[in-house]
Amino acid sequence: MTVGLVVVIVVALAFDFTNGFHDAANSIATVVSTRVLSPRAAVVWAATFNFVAFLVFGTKVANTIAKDVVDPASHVLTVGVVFAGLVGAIGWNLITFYLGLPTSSSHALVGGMAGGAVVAAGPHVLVETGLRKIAVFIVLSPLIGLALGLILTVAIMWTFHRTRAVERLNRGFRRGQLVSAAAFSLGHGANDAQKTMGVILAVLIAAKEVSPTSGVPLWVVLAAHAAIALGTLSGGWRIVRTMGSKITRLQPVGGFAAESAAALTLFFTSAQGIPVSTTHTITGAIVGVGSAQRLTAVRWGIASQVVWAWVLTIPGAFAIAAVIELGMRLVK
Amino acid sequence: MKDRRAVLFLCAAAVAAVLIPASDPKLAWVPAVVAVTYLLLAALSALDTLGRRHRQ
Repeated sequence: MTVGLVVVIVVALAFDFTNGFHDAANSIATVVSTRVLSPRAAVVWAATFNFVAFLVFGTKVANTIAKDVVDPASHVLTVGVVFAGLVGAIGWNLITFYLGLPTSSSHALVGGMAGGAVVAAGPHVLVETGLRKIAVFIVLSPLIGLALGLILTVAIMWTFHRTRAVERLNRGFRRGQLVSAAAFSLGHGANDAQKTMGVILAVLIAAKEVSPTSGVPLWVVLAAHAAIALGTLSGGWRIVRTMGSKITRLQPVGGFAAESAAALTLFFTSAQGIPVSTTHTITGAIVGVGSAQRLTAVRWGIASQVVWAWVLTIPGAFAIAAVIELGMRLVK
Repeated sequence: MKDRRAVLFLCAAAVAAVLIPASDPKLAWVPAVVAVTYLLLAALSALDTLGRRHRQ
């Protein structure tokens, strides 16, 4: 293994760490805002399920990232290009973290890798079908989350509408949120850790450390899950505030419905090998829960701010990665 | 205050329908199911709003 390869793997794991750090809010915002768990207990809970996700899900998403964004046959994904892509994604994550915006680390990664590859060899090296699949689910994942969040909320309301013991019901859903938060963290770990695995697999293939047809080595799987879990343990409180209370105020029932809806969406997409944004998915689900009451329960100003951040993520990370790749070429 | 849920859900159904031809053929059923779901949600929301107005 060359020094460059080791550096890229370390940077990829650092990206995974920032992903956990950035997206910790998604897993635990509702649990914290409904006071089911203290912030400290919530991050430990989420990090545990982030880590054990590797026991449940395969590595289809990793293969999509490694082989369906930039054509592996073009041999453009060198150590330098992957490095530029990762720096682009991390740079974008840090900018949006500073601004307190819940953007997608996943799409930052896709944008970064595409930006580095396009500067290195031109747009023909991008895999159109793979990017189209990712682009379609950029839009679909929040829509699926929203519909499931709304349907689950209405189903729960219908099931319990005759219940008079509201306090008891709330207590039940507070406990239920432990399960739904765990399920969401499992989905988050599965989908997001696999993106880092995909980057490491791509660079290992580029460095001829593994064959292009081989699967993800076990040490890569364990390292990626450990990095995202450690990132979650570090937490990101600015975004917790945006997700948990600024979009719509949630009761335990709403938190349970939102997390369950998002978890179902993530389980499905992970099983299909589709890299989606956990941030998009949970935001859609929270809006779905809010709109079960009335649309005015949703703070559309914040929601639209989030949508703008989504729209800008791929071009933003693409541009940073392109500048880094250009800079490295000039230095050479 | 007006309830605009039906309009929002119709827009979501239209967006999902537009994504059907752009999808991977193996996964084209996903936006199709999402579009149909939002159409149903739009219809139910419209009926709910009409029912509330009728009761008032």
